Amino acid sequence: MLRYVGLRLLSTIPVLAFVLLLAFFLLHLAPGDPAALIAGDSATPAQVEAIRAQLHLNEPLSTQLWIWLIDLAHFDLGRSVFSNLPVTQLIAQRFEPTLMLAISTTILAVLLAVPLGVIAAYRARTGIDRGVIVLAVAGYSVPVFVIGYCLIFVFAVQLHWLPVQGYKPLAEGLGGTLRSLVLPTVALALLYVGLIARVTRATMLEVLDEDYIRTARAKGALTLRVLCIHALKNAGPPIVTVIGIGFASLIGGVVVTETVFNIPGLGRLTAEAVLRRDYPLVQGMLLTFAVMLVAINLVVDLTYPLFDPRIRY
Amino acid sequence: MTAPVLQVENLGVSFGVEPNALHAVREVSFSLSAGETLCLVGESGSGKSVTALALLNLLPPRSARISASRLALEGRSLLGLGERELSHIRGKAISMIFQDPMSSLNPALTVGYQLAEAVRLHGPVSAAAARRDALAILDKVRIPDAARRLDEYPHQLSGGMRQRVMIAMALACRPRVLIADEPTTALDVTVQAQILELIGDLKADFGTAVLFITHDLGVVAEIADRVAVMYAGRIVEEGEVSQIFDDPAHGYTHGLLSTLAVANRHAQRLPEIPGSTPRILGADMGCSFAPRCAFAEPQCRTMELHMAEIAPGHVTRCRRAAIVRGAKSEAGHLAHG
Ligand SMILES: Nc1ncnc2c1ncn2[C@@H]1O[C@H](COP(=O)(O)OP(=O)(O)O)[C@@H](O)[C@H]1O
Ligand SMILES: [Mg+2]
Repeated sequence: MLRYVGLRLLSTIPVLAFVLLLAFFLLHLAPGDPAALIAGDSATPAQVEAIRAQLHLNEPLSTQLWIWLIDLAHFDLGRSVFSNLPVTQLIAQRFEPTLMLAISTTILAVLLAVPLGVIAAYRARTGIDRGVIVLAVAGYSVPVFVIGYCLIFVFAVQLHWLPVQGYKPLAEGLGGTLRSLVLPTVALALLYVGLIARVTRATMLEVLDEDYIRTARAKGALTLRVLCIHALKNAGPPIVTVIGIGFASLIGGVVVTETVFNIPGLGRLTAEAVLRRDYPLVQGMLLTFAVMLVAINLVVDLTYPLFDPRIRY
Repeated sequence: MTAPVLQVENLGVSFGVEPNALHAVREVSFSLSAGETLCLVGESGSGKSVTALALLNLLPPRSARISASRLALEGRSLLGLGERELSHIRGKAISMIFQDPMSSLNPALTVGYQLAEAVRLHGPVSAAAARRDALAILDKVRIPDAARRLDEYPHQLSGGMRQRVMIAMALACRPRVLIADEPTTALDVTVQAQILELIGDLKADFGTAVLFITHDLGVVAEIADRVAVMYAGRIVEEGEVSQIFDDPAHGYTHGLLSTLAVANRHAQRLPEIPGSTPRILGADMGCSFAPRCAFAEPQCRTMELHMAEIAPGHVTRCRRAAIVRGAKSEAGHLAHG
């Protein structure tokens, strides 16, 4: 198991190295003088020179890379050009809302999607099946902001059940956090229910055709047991994979949802960083997402042997 | 003669909707007595598996239509039973073993879980007791080092072992009827012999009636009490094993035995009767085998056919039975001897 994790981590080194280089050269690939680019049109030559010095842009490229890597090893990603706060601090602040929203959305989506997908597969090509498919397609066809504003209007503005916008940090109590997450979670989950339900349905359809399902029925197992124990376990890997992809894209930024619900998360931070050409911050975001993606992939991979014992650690 | 454990009359199975429905099984009737082995033989595609699955209503419910004038277990009709009622019969009174032990065991569950499940599905048994039972059955099917096997997964076992596990699972509740659908086809010859011996022993122990499906006449000669020969969805001839081998009374049976004789002589794989099994769409007249039959005359293709008893316990659908019986085949003696 440890060996497996070690090997998997080793195999991510090339990817991470690539992302690292990409992040570093991000600044230099942009056309023109990076310092002038960052400083903006209205900057004085002195300001541009200050930025140039701050980013070590006068050093040779190899020295720049070396300095950057050393800083990185100390979790120093530089300072935001815009706010002059450390990049790591900015990202850390925005991480909690995004992570919490990603977790709650994934949980809700899975709780809805997996049963729906299983039922659709079991009742394949019937009205129930078509109903689920229509629901799924509708779920990711309707833009999140439409659903979001509708939810806010009904449950926050009209009924006053839930806060209109904003995020309450965990430090102020779990209850407040959960209340602030309900509406964005519902709005976002509808998007992912369709994705997960479709994969669940397709995989279950395949599994239900297998000989061992017939064996289970021949033993006297009833439908629920056949579906939940004999079939679902075998359908696990593709479902977990798509859940992982969904989770990764939730971490990677749900700008619209964060904007609609005024949640200070990574998505908005990224958008702001890009719009302001805050290169150190963009670099930091890029690395954060790369590391998260690698971590999520690793977790997904580690679950495979739980479903299929033929896959060994 | 004991009362039959399983009685099947006029079983029919079709797939799809008319007029394009495929009639996979038609007018199939047979009965099984306790401790008896009935072999169902016929080429691939003749409807053997469909017959077996229809008995426990295990065919895909939306595409398969099953009809029968009688389907009874120990006198109790199984027709019209719901899933819940049938689930009490499946695996308890009637068990099944399938052809491919590779794909018939769940790869994601341990051998012990799958065995214990077979026990627990049919009685309030504690997990520990079910595990003890599972261990006892594994011993019974002569799996060495059974305690260790319980915690292993199917992919860790050899093909022969897996089929033993399937048999153990099927016999866990001491069923009245065991349906074995080509249980040895996927195994090599030595393992095949061991599995046949095992089924024979367990049958003797439990008094289980066996419906044994195979296309291997060598296996039939070894284990059958009675033989039903199937062609294109119908049983075309049925009789005691000696009647079928020594006195075949249907052109198809005769053909099967001749190919076996040729195979024995040349020590090669079973050659086939020229031609292929027809797909039966809609009602048809005459004998389905006539186009491939060495004894056929034009009327064979047009005249309506009935099962006729030509000797006690020996029935055939062949209107040329007398001629077929006259053309003594050497095959029977070869296979039997
Ligand atoms: N689920 C199914 N749907 C449609 N046709 C089927 C199905 N199962 C079997 N058949 C058809 O029924 C016929 C008999 O098949 P089967 O009973 O499996 O033959 P075998 O004698 O080799 O066991 C074949 O023509 C097969 O294609
Ligand atoms: Mg078959």
